[in-house]
Amino acid sequence: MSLVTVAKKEYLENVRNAWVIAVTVVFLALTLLASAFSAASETAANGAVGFAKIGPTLNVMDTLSGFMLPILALMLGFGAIAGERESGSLGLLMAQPLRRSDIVIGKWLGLFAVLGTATILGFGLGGLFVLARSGGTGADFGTLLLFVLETLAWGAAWTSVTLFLSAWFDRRGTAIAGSIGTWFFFSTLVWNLVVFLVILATLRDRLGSGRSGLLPNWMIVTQWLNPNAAYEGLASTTISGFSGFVAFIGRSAMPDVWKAEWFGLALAAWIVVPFWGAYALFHRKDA
Amino acid sequence: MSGIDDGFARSSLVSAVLQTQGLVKAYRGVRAVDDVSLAVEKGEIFGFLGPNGAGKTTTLRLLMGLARPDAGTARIRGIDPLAAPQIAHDRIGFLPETLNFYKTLSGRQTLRFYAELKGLRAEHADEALALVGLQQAADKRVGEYSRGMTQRVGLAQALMGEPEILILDEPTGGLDPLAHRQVKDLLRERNRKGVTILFSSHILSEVEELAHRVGMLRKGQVVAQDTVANLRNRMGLRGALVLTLQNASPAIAYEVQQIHGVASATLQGDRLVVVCDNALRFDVAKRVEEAGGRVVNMETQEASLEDVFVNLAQGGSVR
Repeated sequence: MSLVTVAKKEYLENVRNAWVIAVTVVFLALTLLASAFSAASETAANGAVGFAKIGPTLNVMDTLSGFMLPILALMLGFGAIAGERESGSLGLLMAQPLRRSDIVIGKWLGLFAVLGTATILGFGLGGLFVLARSGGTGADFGTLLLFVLETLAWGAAWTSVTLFLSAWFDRRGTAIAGSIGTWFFFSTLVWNLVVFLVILATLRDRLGSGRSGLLPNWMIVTQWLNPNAAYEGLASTTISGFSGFVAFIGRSAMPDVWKAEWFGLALAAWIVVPFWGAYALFHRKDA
Repeated sequence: MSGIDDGFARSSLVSAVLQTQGLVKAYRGVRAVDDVSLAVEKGEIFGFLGPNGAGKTTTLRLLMGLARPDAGTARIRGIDPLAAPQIAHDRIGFLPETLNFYKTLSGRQTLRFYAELKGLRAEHADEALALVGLQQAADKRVGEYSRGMTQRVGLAQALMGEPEILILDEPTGGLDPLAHRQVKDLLRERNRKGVTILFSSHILSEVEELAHRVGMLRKGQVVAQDTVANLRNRMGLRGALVLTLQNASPAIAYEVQQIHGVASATLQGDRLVVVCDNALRFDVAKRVEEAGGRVVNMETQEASLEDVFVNLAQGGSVR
C-alpha cells in the first residue's frame, strides 16, 4: 500500500536523525532522574531510599517533557512537506500513482511513529524500570500505561500541528521560524501568561460565592486551546497523584467543565483539526 | 523522418494520450504558460522545444497535475491528474526538471521506494539501476551523487517497470555526451516497443533526432506544432556538415556536390562545409572516402534555436 510506503520512508529517514536519538536518550535520562528526585523528597518524609513511586515520577516527567516533546515533534516535522516542496522532491512524489491523502496520511504516520518510538522508549521503558526498582503494583503499571497512552495522544496532536505548519509554509526557513514561534506560544512564557490569567479567573470560587471573579468565566476554556494544556488537563483528571496545573488551582477549585471527557475531546480535536488543515492546504497548493 | 503527417495528427486529436487544452498559469501576474494546447498521440515521440524559461517545465507540471492551472485542462489518457492522480499516474514514467532525492537514502533504497509506490517489485528497482549503470554506486547515499548520477537515478525511476508513457523534462540534462547517446538510444528502443514519449529540450538537434512531432514554445505560447520535417521545410532552414579532411581538395568538394540533396559543398582550408540534411551525413562521408579523402573529424552544424525562433517571429514559417 502506497500510504504505508510513504510512512515507512518518513520513519526511516527521521529515526536516524541524531536529534531524535538524543532526545530519546534525554527522555529516558529524565525519567530516571525524575524518579530519583522524587525519591529524594520522599526519603526526607518517610526514610525510604531509592526510586520513587510512579505518581510523583510522572509529575516531574511531565514538567520536563512539557517543552521537550513539542520541540521534538516540530524538529521532526517542519520539513516534512515544506522541505520537499523547496527541494523539489515533492513534485516527483506527487507524480507517482498516489492520492494526495496517501501522502499526507503517510507522512503523519511516519512522523508519529518516530515520536511514538521516542516516547515509548523514553517514558515507557524508563517508567517500567522505575516500577521494577520501586516495587510497583499492578495498579502502578496501569497508571504508567495510561500515562504513556495519553502522552502518545499528545504526541499525535503535535504531529498534526507540525504537519500543518509544514504544509502552510513553502520553505524550510519559514517553516522553522513558524515552528519556533508556535513553540514559544504554546510551550513557554506566552502561554504561561494565559494560564496565569486563567488562574485569576478561577479565584472567584475561592473568594466565596458572593464575589465575582477577577476575570470572566469563559477564560477557563483556554485550557482546551493548547494541546499541552489539554494533555495536562487529561492527565490531571485521569491519573491520581498527577497534579499539573491542578497544583496551582487545587482539585476542589477546578471548574466543573474541567472533566476528563472534555480534555480528551480537546486533545482529539488537536489531532484531527490541524491534520485536516494540513490536508486541505496540501490539496490546494502546487508542488 | 516521421511517418505521421500533420493532417493525420490533427484529425486524431481525440485519441491523444496526453492532452492539454488552453492551459494558463501565471506567477505573480506573469503568464508562464499562456493558452497552451498540445496533443500527443499514442506511440509517438513528441519533442517539446523552447528556450529556457519558455514555460516547458510549467506545462509539463500542469500536465502531470503537480500544479493547478488558472485556466484550461490537462488529461492523461483522458483522466484529470488533479482529480485522480492515483489512476492518471499509473504506468507513467515522469522525470522532473529539478531532481532532488532524499539525501540519506542510498540509490538502491531510493529506487525501491519509488518502485513500491508504483506497485512494482524490488527487482524492478535493481534492474533500473543496472539500466542506467549505477550498480557500483547503488549503496552510496544519493546526497553524495554527482549531478550526472542524480540524473541517472531520475531516469531509472522514470523508466522502471516498463511504463507505457514517458514524460521527461530535459532527459539529457547534466549528462556527458556518451550518456546523451545512451539515453537517446534507450528512448528510441522504448518507443519501438510502443511507448509514447513526451520530452522537453532546449537543444534543437536532440529534438530533431528523436521526435516525430515537435511543439515549440516561446514566452508561454505554442508557436508551432508539427512534424520535424514540416517545420524545417516551412522555415527553410538547413543544417550543415563540417568535415575535417587530411587531404582536402576541390575535387572532393566537387564530388560531394553531386550528391542529390546537397545544396553546396565549400572548402575552407582543410575543412569541407556541406550544406545538406543531417540524414545525408553517411552518404557525404562515403563519397568523400570514394574520392580519396580521409575524414579526420565530422560534425553537424544546426541552424540554432535562435534562428528558428527569429524565423517564426517574422512569420516566415507560416508558408
